[in-house]
Amino acid sequence: MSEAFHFQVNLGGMLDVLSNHLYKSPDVFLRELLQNGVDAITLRQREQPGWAKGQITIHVTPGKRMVFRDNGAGLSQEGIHRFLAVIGQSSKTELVNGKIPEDYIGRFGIGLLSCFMVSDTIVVHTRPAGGGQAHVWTGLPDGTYTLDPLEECPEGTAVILTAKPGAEGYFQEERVAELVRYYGLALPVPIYLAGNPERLNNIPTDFSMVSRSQLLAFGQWLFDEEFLDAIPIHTPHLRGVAYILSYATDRSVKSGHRIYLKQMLLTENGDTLLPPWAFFLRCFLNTNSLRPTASREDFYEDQELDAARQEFSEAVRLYLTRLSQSSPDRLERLVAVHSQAIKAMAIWDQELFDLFIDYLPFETSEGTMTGRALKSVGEAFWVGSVPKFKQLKPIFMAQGRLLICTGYASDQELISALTRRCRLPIEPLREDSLFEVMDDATYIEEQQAALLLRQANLALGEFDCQAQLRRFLPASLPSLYAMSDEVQFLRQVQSAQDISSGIFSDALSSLLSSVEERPLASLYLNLNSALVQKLVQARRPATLYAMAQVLYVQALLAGGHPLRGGELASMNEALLVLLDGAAGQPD
Amino acid sequence: MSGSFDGEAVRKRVQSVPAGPARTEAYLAAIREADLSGDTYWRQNLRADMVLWTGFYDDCPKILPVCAEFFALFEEEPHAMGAELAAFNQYLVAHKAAELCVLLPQLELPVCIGLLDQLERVVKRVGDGMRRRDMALCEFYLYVDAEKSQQYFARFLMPCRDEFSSCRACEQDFKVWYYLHTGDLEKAKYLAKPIFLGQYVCDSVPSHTYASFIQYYLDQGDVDSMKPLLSPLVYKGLHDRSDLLYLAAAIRGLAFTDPKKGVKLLRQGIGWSEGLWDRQSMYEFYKGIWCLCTAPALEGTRVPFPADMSAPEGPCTAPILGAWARKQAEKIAKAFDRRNGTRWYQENLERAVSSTEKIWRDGNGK
Repeated sequence: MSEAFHFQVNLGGMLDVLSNHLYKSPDVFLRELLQNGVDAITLRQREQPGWAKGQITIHVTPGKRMVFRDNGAGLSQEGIHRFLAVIGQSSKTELVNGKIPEDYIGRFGIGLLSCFMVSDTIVVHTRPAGGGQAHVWTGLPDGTYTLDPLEECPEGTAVILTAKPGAEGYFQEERVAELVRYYGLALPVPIYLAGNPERLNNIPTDFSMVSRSQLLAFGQWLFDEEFLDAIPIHTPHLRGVAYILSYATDRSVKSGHRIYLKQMLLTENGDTLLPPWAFFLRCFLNTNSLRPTASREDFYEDQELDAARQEFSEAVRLYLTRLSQSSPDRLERLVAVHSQAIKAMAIWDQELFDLFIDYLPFETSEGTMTGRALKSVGEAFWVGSVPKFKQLKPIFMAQGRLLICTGYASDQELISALTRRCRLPIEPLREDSLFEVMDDATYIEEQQAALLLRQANLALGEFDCQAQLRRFLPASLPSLYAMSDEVQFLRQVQSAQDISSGIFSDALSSLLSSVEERPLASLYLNLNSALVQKLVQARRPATLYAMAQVLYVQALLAGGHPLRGGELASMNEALLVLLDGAAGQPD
Repeated sequence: MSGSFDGEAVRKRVQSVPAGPARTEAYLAAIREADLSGDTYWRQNLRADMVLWTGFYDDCPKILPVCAEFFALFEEEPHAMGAELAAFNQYLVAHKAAELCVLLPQLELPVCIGLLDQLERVVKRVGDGMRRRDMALCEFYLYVDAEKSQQYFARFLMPCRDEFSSCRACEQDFKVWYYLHTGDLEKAKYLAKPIFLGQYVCDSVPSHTYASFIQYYLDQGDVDSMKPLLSPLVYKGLHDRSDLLYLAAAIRGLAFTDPKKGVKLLRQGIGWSEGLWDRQSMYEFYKGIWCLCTAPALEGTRVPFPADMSAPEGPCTAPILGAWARKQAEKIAKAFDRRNGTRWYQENLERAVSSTEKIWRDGNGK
C-alpha cells in the first residue's frame, strides 16, 4: 500500500487568498464582524433562555483603532483553539437534526480572516458567558497566533483592529455607521456606536403591517429616491418590499437592491433571485431559508431558490392584479412609466398579459394606441422594423389604414399574441402584402408605361431593383422603395464591399455568392403622382432612364437608406443628363 | 464638419432605444449620421459600438459588413481614436468577426482561416488578447479538426488573463463547453460547480452552461439529469433573440417534461428566429422543434409555424412541423459539414434523433 503524505499549506498565502481575493471589497470585514457578533448573541440566547439583553457596541478611535464588542456567548480556551485558529471551522457548523440552525448567519468559519484586509493584527478578547477564564488571542496574517489569559474582560467577545496603512478610512465613525446600516440594517440585535444612544439599525420587523405611506417613506430613506409604489412581499421564503421606480429603466442598468440573508446584507444584485423583468423594481428583501455561496455574495442555485423566485413573481403579479381592481389610475400611471418591463413580463405570463394588454402602448401610424384600442380597430398590419415603419407610415395614413410598429423589444410577441388570443385581423406586413395599400395598374396603364418601365428596369438592374407600376396615396409621393429584410442586409453587405479589401472583401463575397437567388427590391412608381403620369407620356428613353435613376435615389433617401457609391455616381450622371436636356429646351 | 457632430449625444440616443432589432437599426442610422458628418472618430467608434451590441444581443452575423467597414476606415485613419481605444476596438471587431465563422456556413473555409488570421494579426499588433483568440480558434476547429481544437484549448489555458480576455464567467463556461463537447462529463461537472453556485455570472453565464448540459444529457438520453437544469434556464435565461440557442435547448428538454410549455416557448422562438442569419442558432432551434414535435402529448395538436414554412393545407400539427424542422436542420448541418469537410453536424443530428427515439422507447418522457 502506498504511503500517504500531507500537503504543505502556506498559511500566509492562504490567508492572503481568503482575505484579499475571496471578497469583492474590504467593506465586508464589518459584515463578517456583525455576523459573528449576532451569532454569538443568538448562541447565548439559546443557552440562557429568557436572556434578551444582546447588543453590539462599536468603539472607534478615528483613523487608528476599532473595538467591536458583543455580549454574546464568548469563547472558552478550547473554543478559541477550535474556532479562531482553524480555517474552515465554524462554531456554527454543529448540526441540529442534520441541519445548520436557521438562526445562525455564518457557517464557513473564514469570516474573521477578512479583517486582515484592514488590519495587520486581529486581537480578540473573550470571556464565556457561562463563566470561565477570559483570554486574549492575537492572530497575525502569517498564520501565527498567541493566546494568553486575561483578567479584565466582560462576558462576550471584543475584536480589536488596528488600521493598516491605506485602511484608515474604515476607522471613522461615519463610515462604520454607514457600513452597519448597509450590511446590518435588518439585524434583530441592536447595534450602537460607543457613547451614542441612537440605535444604528432600527426598522420594522414585519412589513406586512406597515401602511403604504410608511413603506414609501422607508424606501425613500433607504434608497434615497422616491418611488411610485411599494409592493409588500410576504411569502414562505421572502419578506420585505419591492419598490416601483419612478422612472423608466432597462435591464442593463445596475439595480442596487438590498437583499438580506438572515437579516444580513448578502447582495445588491438581484440577478439570481429576482426574475429578469424585475429591473423596474428596487427590492428590500430578507430570506432565512436560502443557501449562500461561499463568498456570501449570492445564493446557491437549488430548488428552494427556484421556489423563492416563483413566490416573488406571484406576489408582484397578485399585487398588480389587485391594483387593477382597486386603483386602475395608479396602475395606468405605473404602466405609463414601465411599459417596457411590463411588456417583458406579459410575454411569459398569460395572466399578466390579460391584465395589462389593455393598458400597454404601441406605436402605430395613428399615433400611440393601447392594446384595448387595437382590439377594436379591425384590419391592420404590423412591421418589425422602425425605419420601414417610418417609411410606410404616410402611405398608411393617407389611406386610413393602420400600421403597427413592432420593432421594439417585446412588441412583436405581444401583438401576435393579441392577434391570436382575440382573433384580430392583424397580420405581419411582408413585401408582397404591400398590395394591400397599393392598387395594381390596369393592363392599359401598363401598356402605356411600357417604355418607362423598360428604361427604369434597365437603369435599376445593377442595383438589384425592379420597377413596378402601382397606384397609392398620398399622390404627392412619386415613388416608394421597398425591400425585404434580406435585401436590406444584402445591400449593407454590398455597400461594405465597395469600400473593403482583403479578407473582409472575401468574406462579404462569400456571403453574397451563397445567396442562390438574389432577392430584388422594388421601386413602386405611383400612378397617382402627376410626375409619374408625365413620365408615362414621355418618349425619350435617355430621359426616362435618367429620371428612373433620380427617382430611385430620391426614394432611397426618403426611406433613410444609405447610398452605395454606385448609386451616388448614377444619380450624378442622371442629373447631368437631365440638366443637359433642360438646357437644350427653349426658355 | 467633424467638430459639429455630437457623437456622445447620438450614442446616448441609440442606447435609449429599447433593446431588440430596433437598437441595431438605431446603430445603423447613427453610423450613417456619423458618415455624413465625416467625423472619423465617431465613424469608427459607433461601428465598434454596433458590433459589440448587435454581436451580443441581436443577430450576430448582421455585424459582418460593419466589421468590414470598420477595418476599411481604420486603415484609412489609424490614429482617429487614440492608441488605447483603437487597440480595444480593433481587437473587439476582429474577434467578433472571427466568431462569425462558427455561425455562418456561407463563409468558405479559406475565408474563415483568413478571418482567424486577421484576429491573430491584431493580437500581435495590440500585444494582448491571446486567451480570447485561442477560445475562438478552439471553438472553430472543434467542428473542423478535433486535434487542432485540442491544441488551441491547451494553448488557451497557458497565457495569463489580460484586459482583452473574456470575463471569468465566460472563460469558465468555455471550459465546461469544451469538456462536454469532447465527452469529459466529470471535468465539465467539476468546472461547472462554481457556475451553478453563482460564483461566475455574466449575461451569458449560467444560461449557456445550462444549455450545454441540457444538450449533452439529452444526447445521452439522460432525462433525469437534464430535468433540474430546465427551470433556471427557462426562468432566467431567455431575454432576446440572441438567446435562441438557449431557447432551443429548453424546448428540446421540455419535449420530455412539459411539451405544452415547450409550445409556448416555440411561439417565442418563431418570433425571434424570423430573418435570423445566425445558422448555428437556427440549426439548434430546428433540432429543438423537431424534438418537441415528437412528444406524444402533442400528437394531433395544432402548433404555430414559422413564416418561411409554406402553410400546410389543413391545420399545422406537430408531426408536420417536426418533419419540416428536421429537414431544415439537416440542410444547415450539411452546409456546415460541407464547408468544414467533416460530419460533425450531421452526426450531432443523428445522435439527437437516436437518443430522442430511445427516450420515448424507454418511456422516460412525459
